[in-house]
Formats: sequence, structure tokens, C-alpha cells
Amino acid sequence: MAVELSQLKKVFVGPDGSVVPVVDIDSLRFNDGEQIALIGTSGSGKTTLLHLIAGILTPDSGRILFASGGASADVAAMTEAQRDVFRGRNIGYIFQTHHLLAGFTAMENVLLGMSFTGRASDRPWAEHLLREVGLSDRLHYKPSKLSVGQQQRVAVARALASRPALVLADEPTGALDEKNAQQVLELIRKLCREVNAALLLVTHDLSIAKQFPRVLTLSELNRSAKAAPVAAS
Amino acid sequence: MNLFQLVFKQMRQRALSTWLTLLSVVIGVALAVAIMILQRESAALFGQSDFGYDIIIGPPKGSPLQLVLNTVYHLDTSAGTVPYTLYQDMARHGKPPPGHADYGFFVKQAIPFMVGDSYNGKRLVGTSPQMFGYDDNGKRMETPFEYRKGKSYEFADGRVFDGRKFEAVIGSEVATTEHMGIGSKFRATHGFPGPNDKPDIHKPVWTVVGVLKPTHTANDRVLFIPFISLYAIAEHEVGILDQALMKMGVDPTKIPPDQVDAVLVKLGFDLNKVPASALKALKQEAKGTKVDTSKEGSELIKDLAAPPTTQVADEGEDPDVYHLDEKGHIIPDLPEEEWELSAILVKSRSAFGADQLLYRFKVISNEAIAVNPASVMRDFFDTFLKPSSMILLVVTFLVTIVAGISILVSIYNSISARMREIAILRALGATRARVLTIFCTEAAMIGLFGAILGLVVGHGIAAVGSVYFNRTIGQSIAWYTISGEELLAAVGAVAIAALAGLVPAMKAYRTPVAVNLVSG
Repeated sequence: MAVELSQLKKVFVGPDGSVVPVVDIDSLRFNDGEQIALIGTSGSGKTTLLHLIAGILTPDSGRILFASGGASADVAAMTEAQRDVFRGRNIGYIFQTHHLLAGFTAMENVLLGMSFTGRASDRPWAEHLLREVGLSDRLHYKPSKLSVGQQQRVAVARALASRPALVLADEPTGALDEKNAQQVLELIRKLCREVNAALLLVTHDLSIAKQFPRVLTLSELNRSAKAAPVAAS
Repeated sequence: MNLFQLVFKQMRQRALSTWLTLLSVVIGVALAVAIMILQRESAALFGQSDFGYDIIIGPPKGSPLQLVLNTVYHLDTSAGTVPYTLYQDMARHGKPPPGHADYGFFVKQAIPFMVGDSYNGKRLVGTSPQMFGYDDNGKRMETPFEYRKGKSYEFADGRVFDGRKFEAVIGSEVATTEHMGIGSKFRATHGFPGPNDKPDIHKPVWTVVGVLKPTHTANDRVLFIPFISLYAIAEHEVGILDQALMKMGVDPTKIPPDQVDAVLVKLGFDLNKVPASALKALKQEAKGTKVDTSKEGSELIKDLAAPPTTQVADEGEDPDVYHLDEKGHIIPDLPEEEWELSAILVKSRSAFGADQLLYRFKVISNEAIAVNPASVMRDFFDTFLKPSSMILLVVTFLVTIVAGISILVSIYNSISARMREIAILRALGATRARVLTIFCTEAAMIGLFGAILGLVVGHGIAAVGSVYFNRTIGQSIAWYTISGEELLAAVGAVAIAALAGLVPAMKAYRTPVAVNLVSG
């Protein structure tokens, strides 16, 4: 599934009433299964862009087209409920911190990633994902019993649980040490290839970005890049 | 992972909060259910209108309620006696002798009823074989007496007693708790002595000849004996004489021993008919009392008219105040015209007959009172039980509301602590409606389990109430019956819980995803 952003604009209104453009992209396309690193400084609007693509936020203007075969769907034109359903079925999201549910085991957290797809839970697939991230012996551990690196691996498995067309990763290695960060990064890329999901990974770490075949800089993408950065990003 | 798995998982995650909230719902529903059952069953128990007889004739003293409680539920004490001749008049079929009322047109059946003694705390009731559907010759009657409409006594074992022998028929519970059966023998205790009282055990010995099937009424706790056998107890003979004197305003304890004969003659007693044992006991009662005996009879009687003093305890063995004829039948020394009863159970021929009896004893005759037990119990229920149970129901309703608020607060607080969790669910694809459903379902599940457990616990409380009723009045209640009202209350609790969950669910519904994901 290819993704195409066009004329995408999102502004925030500051406390003093001033309008601050955060995302202002003329055009951006990533292809089916493509892996892209997006770099940008802190507060440059990286997370906002991911939220827009995921349909968590709505743009002020522009289109976010997901195209597959001859069909396409504009996330920006969907209702909130439609966006939620679309996200559950087509987009996997990895946060900077794991954002696992504390009361659920590793397996349950992964299964939760399938709960809103409208499809039946696929336990063997969940086990496969957890095995792939090296947690086959930790299936029934709750997050509190896992290390930070292991927690993030569960989060990776959860993002891939619904076999999404696109994985959005927001600084997924930001909270990890160098060794763990590299391992998690490789896992994300490997699993995305396995399900043929496109990957848009946001990072401010150039050493990570350099490992991707395509690297984008948000300041270059943003037509309003010269605008003052906002704190909300 | 389906909706219910998700909800259960969340409930388990907050186990303590969930259990406490559940407990409040259980308490609310259980109280409501228990009160509903007790109200329903007490209405059936005390407000019953299915008596097999429609009139109870009792002593003019005391209240109608006391009379009904005493004769139907074997509670309270008898307020006095009615003349045996009144029973004879009511039971008579045919033309009455001169000077006697003709009740034949009104009365279909009349059953004698006499109380005052006990055995191991169980009441002895003196009655006739007619109570059990047999005539004096032991033959089955065409229309047996009914203790409830359509229900007459049946024997589990043995037969009806001979109305003139020291025989007894016992209730089912007496047989069980006292381990008695056919051939068991017992002696009666005077009254119901307290735990620290020395029991006054009468001399005669009764033999059990019949055991009744359970009636699920207070009668299951009763030992039935021929009422005539009660006149064979010396103290009863004296007691009846004492009561006759008291009715005339004379305190028997104040009659000087040497004046007893004179006073009795003055009052119209035929000394030849007064049993010697009763005269002797009467003289012993007044031993040591000093009265100015120089006064004439009427003045003397005036002086003697005073409240009764405490009866002197009889430490010796009772003398025999009866003899047996060739058939072994009891012939009491006390003449028949002196016999008295505690009450008479009457089945009238018609509603008109019942009204006429009620009217007669209310307006024309003051020798007794007549009450309709169904009417008395209905008044009792409407006056005392219904208002209090209504108050309890209101309290229960408030408890249920509090339980609902408890659910609301519990889930609302949990949502405040779970904003990030909700945002994660939303990020994973849960719609707002789904989140709303999750939280409403959680509240409804607490309400559902609370309602089910509340139903169980409520019936458990009612079962305890049933045991209490059984111990106090000998009647159990149908604590196991589930009424439509209870189910409605349970459904109401689930609805209140779901509604209570709606408020916090709306908060979850409105949770902004992006903000909570970032802030988390």
C-alpha cells in the first residue's frame, strides 16, 4: 500500500492567539514496503506528522491517501470513527515509550493489537512475533516483569500484530541503550519486511537514520520550516 | 481479545476496587431482595385470609389480635376463658334447651381450644377429635375441620386420640425435635416456666397415639390432647374456681379459710358440686390471711374484692381430681357447668352466619368476643408490618442508589488514572464508541454480578428469617421463591450500574488521544 501526502497542513494556536504552522508539506509519497527515516529536531513536528498520518489528528487541509491496487482512501476526509477503524486495520504504531497495558501479559498486549481489526485473534501469529523479538520464554510476563528493552520489543510485536500496511515508529529506540536500540531497530525493519509493511521511523539520531535507504528531513519537507518550532510536538 | 475478555482483564487489574464496588451492589440488591421476600412472605403469613375457619370465639378480656395470635400462631398468652356451655351451644345440632342460644343456623363446626400448659417449651392444646376430622367415636367425618382452606390435618403415623383418655396427637416438629413417636409418654408442665423458674409438672401422663404430617404452620410445634384431660389436673380445677371468683370481683387469696364455704354459698356456688380438692386448695391459698370475720356476707365480699396476689407455689404432688369409668374414660371431679375453654374455633355456615356471630358478640352478648382471624391479621399487617417494610424498601432503594454512585465514583476515578491506557486503546484502533462500550460494559458487569450475588445473598438472608420465623411462631416462609419483583430489582440494579458507568464512560469517550499519548 502506497501512501501519498499532498498539501498537508496543520497549525496550532498558541496561548497568545498566534497561529503556528507545525506541518506544512507540499507532497510526500512512500511506496509499498518502503522504509524511510524521518529526522528532525525536537519540537519540529515529527510526532504531529505521524499523528496526522495515523488519523489521530486531523489536518487543517490537505490529503493523506492510502492507495492499494486501483483503490485509495483519504484518511483526512474520514470521520473519526472511520479513521479509528482504518488505523486499527492498516497502521501499526510504535511509541517512544512502550505504552503497554500494565495489567496485560506480553501475549495479551500483542493480541490487543489485533482486537480492533475486525478480524479474529491470531494467536500463532502473536507467538511468532514474540518469538521473533526474542521473547518466546516471556509470553505470559506482565510489562513490570520485563526490562525496558524487552518492553519495547513487545511494543514492536504489537505494532505488527495486525499485519499493517504501514508502521509508524516515533523514536522507538529513544529510551534504549545503544546495543538495545540497534537490536530493536533491526527487529522493526525485519518484521516490516516480513509483512511487507512500509515503515516511517522518526528519529533525531543520525546514526540510526543512516541505516535507512531513504532519509527525509522534516525541515526540508516543511514549507514553513523557518517557522518557530512549537513545544507541543 | 473480545470485549468481555478486555473488560474482565480491566476488572481484574483493579481487583480491590472492583470487589469493593461489587460488594456495595451485592449489599444493595441483597437488602432489597430480602426485604421484598420478607414483606411478601410476612404478608402471606400474617395477612393470610385462607383460614379454614372464619370465626374465633375468645374471652371478652384481651384484644382480637391477642386472641388470633394465641390460637392461630400459638403466640402470646390466653387472655382468659369462655364458658364450656358456650361451646356446647355452638356445637349442638338440634333444638337448644331452654335458656340457651341457638347457633345452629350460623355455625357449621365448632372446635374447642384450650391452652395453658406445655411440654419442654412446646405448647399443649386441649381440643377434641373433631379438630382432626374425627367424631367422638373415632369415625372419620364427612366434612373434616380445615386449619387452612382445603387443608385438614393428616396423620403421618398412628390415629386420633380418644377424647376422654390421656392420649395425645403431636405435630411433626414435636416428633422430630423431641424424638417422640407412637407410645411416647409425657407429663405436662404448668404454663411456660422461664429458664430460672422451677417447673410445676402435673401428675397425669399422656401417651402419644398419633403423629401429624407437617402442616408448615405453628401447629407442627404443638402437642394436642383431649381438652377434658386438662380438667383432670388439680391446679386447673382450682384455677377455674379462682377465675370464677375473680370474675365476680373476689380475690380468692383474701378469703379466710374458715369463711370459704360461706363466701362460695353467698356467691351462689353449690358446695356439693365444687370438688373437695378445689375447696381444700382454696382454703390453703388464704392460709395466714387475717380478715374481720364478724362482718356479714356482702360486706365480707366487698372487703375481699381486691387485685389478686401472687399465687403460692405448690410444692407437693397434685391430688387426683378425676376418676376413670369402666371404659377408662376420664371423669373429672369438676362439674361440666364449671368447665371453661380458652377459645372456640368456628366454621360458619355462610358469610351471613359469620356476620351474625360477629354482631352477636359485639352488640348482644358480652360473655365472649368473636373475631374474624383473616380480618384481624390483615389489619395487623396493614397497621404494623406494611408501613415499616415500606420504610425498609425506601432505605433499600437508597442503598442501591448509593451502590450505583459507588460504581460511578469507582470507575470515574479509575478513568482518571487510565487516560493513557484509553489513549493507547484508541491508538490501536478502538473507536470512541468502543471505549464507551468497554466502560459501560464494565459497570454493567459489576451490576450483573452484584445483582446475581445479591439475589443469592438476599435469599440467604430470607432463609435465616425463615429459621427465625420457624423458631418464634413455628411457621417457615417460602424464602426460595423468586418473584417477578425481585427479578425487576435485579434488572434495575444492572440498569443503574450501566447508567452509573455512562458518566465515566463519557469522560473516557472524550479523552483526547494525542495529548494523552504524548503526556504518557
